[in-house]
Amino acid sequence: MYSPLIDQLIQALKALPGVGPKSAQRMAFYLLEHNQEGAVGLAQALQAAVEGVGRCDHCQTLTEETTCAICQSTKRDQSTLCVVESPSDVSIFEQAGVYSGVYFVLHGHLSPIDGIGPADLGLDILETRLQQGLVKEIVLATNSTVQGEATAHYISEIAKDTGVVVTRLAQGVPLGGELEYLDGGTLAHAINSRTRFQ
Amino acid sequence: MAVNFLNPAFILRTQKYRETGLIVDFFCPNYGKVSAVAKKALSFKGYLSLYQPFMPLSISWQGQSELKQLISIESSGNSVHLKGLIFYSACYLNELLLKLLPVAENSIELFGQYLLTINTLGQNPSRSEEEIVLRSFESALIKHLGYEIGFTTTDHSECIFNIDTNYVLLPERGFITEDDFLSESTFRNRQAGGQSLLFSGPHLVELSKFGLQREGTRKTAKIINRIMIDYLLGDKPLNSRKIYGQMLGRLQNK
Ligand SMILES: [Zn+2]
Repeated sequence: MYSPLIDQLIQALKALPGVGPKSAQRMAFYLLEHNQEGAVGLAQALQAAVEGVGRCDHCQTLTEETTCAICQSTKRDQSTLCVVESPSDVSIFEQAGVYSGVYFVLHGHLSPIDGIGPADLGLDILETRLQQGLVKEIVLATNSTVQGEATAHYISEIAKDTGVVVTRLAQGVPLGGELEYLDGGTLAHAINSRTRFQ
Repeated sequence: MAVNFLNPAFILRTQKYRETGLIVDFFCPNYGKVSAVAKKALSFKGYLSLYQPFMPLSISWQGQSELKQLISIESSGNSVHLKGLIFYSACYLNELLLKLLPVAENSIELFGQYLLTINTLGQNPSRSEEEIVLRSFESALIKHLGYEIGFTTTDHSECIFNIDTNYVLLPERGFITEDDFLSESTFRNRQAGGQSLLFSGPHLVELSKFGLQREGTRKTAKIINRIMIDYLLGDKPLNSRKIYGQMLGRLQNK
């Protein structure tokens, strides 16, 4: 319909999440007509990121360094390790500024039906790290889904023999949440993990 | 467009669909496997807790094509809590259903068996109780797919397994005696399945007498079911079986 180069650009933009043919077309024309400079910047940034970004050799998060800034930081508590499912979970913690330990990023969760086992998540690497003895506490922050729970359970099993303290993010009533809107499962979690009121 | 209201269902698998949606495979008593798109599944916080396996659900959908549009989903009971290795056994059941269950087919009996099986798995069963429900479920599924393996008769008569005879399991036909097999078999037949298809008379007699109540009979039943399931799966891989193998020794039952 369009010239080959424009068509190619529209096709390429459809790789973005949530972008269908219509929005891809709109974006293509916007960039070509109104923002050529931005388009060049985008192209260069994409190219550089794709070529440069890999996984941290300590925590598996995305970084262009061999070891990411958080893992290298002397200000972080290297003895507390928070296990999350995705790099975006790391950003959520970092933006909130509520955690000063380090992370381990699984890039997923155990999913038997999809053939995703411990090694696919780097859990063998995590196990070696726990055995090295530097980590004193591991905080399980995998999602509160069936598979997230199974992943947390597995990690707690491999941590058992290492003497590392295993904790799980508290689960229950969200701040500002009304009981009326809680589902039964969340309420069950909340009542089972209730704490002393201070 | 016709809406199909409030069907009991369990989720077998979810996959991401675009940014905020899911494609969900359900198991429904009246329709077998139902696949549906839930377009906004991930855009409401907290809704994801509904899109979990092992939780009894009630769902409504619309659409004529094989991929339906999900229009409502609610929980209709507590989710079954599966601990340790048992979680992987339960995933195995879901994968079997996902890969073998036909769409748009009455599956009431099999659904009942599924319910019974995961409820048993959720109650911290002993290893033998677990094996009994898993083997029973496999048998029910094999039967649902139209293959009945007579434990008491060979395929052409009412004769009960003979203690002095060896038998061969041919997935398409059931058991025949080793002699019959050898006399009629061509090279192609012998290759069928590729596994050790030979069963000893005493083992089969024990299985037909005692069902799954003995360790030995459970082992025999496991081999029989495995041959049938591998045959039914064809070249589709069974991922959860592989992962279960990796978990063995790492996780305890309970
Ligand atoms: Zn790192």
